[in-house]
Amino acid sequence: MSFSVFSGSLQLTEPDGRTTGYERFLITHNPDGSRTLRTLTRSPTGDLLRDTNQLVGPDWQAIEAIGRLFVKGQSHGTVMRRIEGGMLHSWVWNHSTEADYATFAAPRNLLLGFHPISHDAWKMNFLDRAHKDWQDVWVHTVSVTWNGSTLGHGELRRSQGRFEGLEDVSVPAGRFACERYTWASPSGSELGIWRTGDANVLVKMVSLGGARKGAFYELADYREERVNWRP
Amino acid sequence: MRTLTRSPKGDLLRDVNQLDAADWRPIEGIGRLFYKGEAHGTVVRRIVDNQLHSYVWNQGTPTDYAVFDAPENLTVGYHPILHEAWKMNFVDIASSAWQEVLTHTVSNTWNGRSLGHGMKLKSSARFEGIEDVVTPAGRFRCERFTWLTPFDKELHIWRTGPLRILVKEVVAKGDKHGTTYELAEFAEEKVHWSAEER
Repeated sequence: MSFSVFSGSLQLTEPDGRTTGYERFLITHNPDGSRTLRTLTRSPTGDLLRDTNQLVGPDWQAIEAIGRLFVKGQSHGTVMRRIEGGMLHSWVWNHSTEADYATFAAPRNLLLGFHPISHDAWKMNFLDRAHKDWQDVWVHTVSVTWNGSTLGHGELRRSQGRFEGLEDVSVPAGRFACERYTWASPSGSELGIWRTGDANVLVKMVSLGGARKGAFYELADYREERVNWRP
Repeated sequence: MRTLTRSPKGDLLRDVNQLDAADWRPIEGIGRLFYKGEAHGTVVRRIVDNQLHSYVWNQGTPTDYAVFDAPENLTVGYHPILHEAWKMNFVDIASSAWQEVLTHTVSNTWNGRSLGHGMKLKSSARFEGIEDVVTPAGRFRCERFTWLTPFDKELHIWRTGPLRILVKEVVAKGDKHGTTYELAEFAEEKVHWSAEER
């Protein structure tokens, strides 16, 4: 039995060429085959701090997730989600009052969206790579804003993505053999996504259109560790 | 505080995220455990109005929910070593007398190899003074504490800075006597935002 740890950070380059650190991530491929993605995201201006933790099964089906948000110096609380028996259980908590609890339908292949950039690679988890047709991407988000600057029970949103092929990509963290996707996201922007390896680590994401055309996120540093245990 | 812990043998993987208020009172915590190849589930905790709300999530079963008292000096324990420094959060450093440490743990085992609603455990600790400590990560000005844990260990704890980061912990007495945890690497980054940038 073993588990693996994949960690690193993403940097953002704006259309005007400015580059800032953006997101730290730590993924584990857990002993039971499940995977956990942990992210800590800051906006370039420093007005947003987002903390997420998402667990998916060996088949990438969402199991549970937690997101916490601070915007413009204020805590926006925490959203906790759990999928159980085809239902999404959602708790929204502003850290002072009782949690607000709601349930939603959770069809198979539903993705839980908390807005970390690293998770955009996981948004492609259920796309069939046997063809290059557009396919549905279903995300139950916590925020319908493009950068996730709010936090609540959110809503189910449909978008489309497609597999584009295999490409080698060079970024500050090195050269990676990647799967490439295009995602026509619910916010109306088209994104080019490259991801790599067993943990579907986001290597690069480029904004292909819209107000932020030309902005891109890249893997700035990266390391892997494997831990073995024998009963 | 976010921690990812592995046991030396690789049989335990623990994932913890804890939020404390500006006065160090716990707000919420999340702990997930894998032990000997199996998922042991997740425990989510929130403190509201002196009550600890505890949710135990075992995959494939409904959420088990329970409520416990949460006195003002309660710390919420998930067993990461880094959090031992925060176990001292309510020990008055104006005094060197022994003081109560009250923890609502998720596991009544010394290394946290189970996960559940847990129970309150009382122990005692005292402030020992200020010391400079050298570790592989560098030299740090530390507050030093001695903690007599609920598991009959005597631990020596050094922590530093406004985040109360654990710099070193030594098992001085009890099982695993002589074991030392040290800060191996450390980085700080400050991100500025001013309201004028709205």
